[in-house]
Amino acid sequence: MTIPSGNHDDLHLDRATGDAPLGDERVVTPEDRAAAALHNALTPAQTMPAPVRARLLSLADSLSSTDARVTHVAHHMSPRPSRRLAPWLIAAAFVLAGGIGLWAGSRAISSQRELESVRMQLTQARQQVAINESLVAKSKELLERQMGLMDETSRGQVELANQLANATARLRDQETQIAKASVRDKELSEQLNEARLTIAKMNEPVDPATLAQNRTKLLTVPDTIRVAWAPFDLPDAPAEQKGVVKGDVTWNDRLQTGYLRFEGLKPNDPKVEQYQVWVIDERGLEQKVSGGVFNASANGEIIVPITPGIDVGKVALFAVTVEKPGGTWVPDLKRRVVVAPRS
Amino acid sequence: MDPKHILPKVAAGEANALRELVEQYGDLLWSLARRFTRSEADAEEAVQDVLVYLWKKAPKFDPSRGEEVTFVSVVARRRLIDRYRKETRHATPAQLPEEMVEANNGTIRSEEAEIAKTLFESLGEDQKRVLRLSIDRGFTHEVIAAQTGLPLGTVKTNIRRGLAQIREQLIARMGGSR
Repeated sequence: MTIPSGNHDDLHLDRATGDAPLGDERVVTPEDRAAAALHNALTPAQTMPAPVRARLLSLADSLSSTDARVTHVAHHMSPRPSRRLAPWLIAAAFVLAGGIGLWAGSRAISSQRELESVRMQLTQARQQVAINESLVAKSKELLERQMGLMDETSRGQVELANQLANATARLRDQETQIAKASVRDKELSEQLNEARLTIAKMNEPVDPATLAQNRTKLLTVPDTIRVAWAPFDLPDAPAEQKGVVKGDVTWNDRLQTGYLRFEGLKPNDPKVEQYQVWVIDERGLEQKVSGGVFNASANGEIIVPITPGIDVGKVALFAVTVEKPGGTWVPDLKRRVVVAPRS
Repeated sequence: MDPKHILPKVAAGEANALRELVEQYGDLLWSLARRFTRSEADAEEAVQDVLVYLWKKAPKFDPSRGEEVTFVSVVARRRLIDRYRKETRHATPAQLPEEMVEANNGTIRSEEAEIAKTLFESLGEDQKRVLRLSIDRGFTHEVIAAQTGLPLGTVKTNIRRGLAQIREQLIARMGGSR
């Protein structure tokens, strides 16, 4: 058997007896093994006192219920835990064990000082637990209060959002109503204007000055034509009519409105006869429409509004005849006065 | 996994494994601790400390490199020597009597312990004395030299040589390697 020697070997041997600082504490060397085997061989066998064993078993149970991995990590980070840590671990383990049999064998601890020390540590551990529990309770209370506040705030926000949505909906409603009202207003306004025009037409004034004004207005309307009167060119025309009557016709096809203006038209006796105006459209003489009857009461200027009974289309000719009072539907055109052909 | 080994079960986090470890090795731990402490209260604190340490070191147990009981003893020794050295750091040799305790009830039994014991008994008286002071009492080489009056070098050599012989015997008869 060769016994290796040398510094490296001595180092391991000295470590095994605690006479050299430990290297890697995780490694169990053959020298450790030899020292431990001899140690066992030299150590008188003793029986662990029952109370000590009970407490050690209690510690074993506490350690077993701990997550070993966490402890291993913690140990790896701190390979040489301080000696003050162990009593704390033990005290904490006792608390965890629920105190069953905790003090059952306390008398076995011979030193009153040790007993007091353990008791104090236990008391401190219990106090720490109580403080922790109180902190947890306070934190919970705060958390609940915060959650309550958040709840209230979010409820308020929801309500405000609803109110805003309602207000917006009402606003849109009102905008729509305003728009509708505005359209209706325009429609009514147009209808009012039309009604006013209708009323104005129905109340066509007979006052000569107004008629003259209206005729002047019509002349400013686009597409209004103005045609001068010409004598009938028929050979049997009454001599008194020839070249005597002057004036013109103003007419607007679109408005179906017009005015006759005469100068030198002989005053008539409405009981015997009346003048009648005829509107003849471009389709020919057969398509003549009465423009109404009128009287010539003065030898000055006469303005007569044309009011055709029906739509006359595009006018080709205006003619004035002398007819029986009230006019006739079918003129014989024998007593023609003047004509105004459209050019 | 050998079912008689407890440490692998402790390492695996099996329920009651650590309790089983206490049942199996409680007396060993107590016996070792009692030799390194002055009171039962100190011994109890030391044993609890060792149990926590064993719980952490359990994954390091390798059955091919020695008996489980020896491994437990290795771990316990480290903690016990560490505690003991700190407590007696300023003590004089006179304050640390040799106190040869007779093992009336025998010693801790194991195959490796028997091998170690047999080899130990074959040694000379001086070598046995220094080995006993070093291993059983935990004295440092310097304390042993002062206690015995032997030169420090002789103390060191005797202790190292004795341990090396035991080491070789254990490897030869129980397996393992250096």
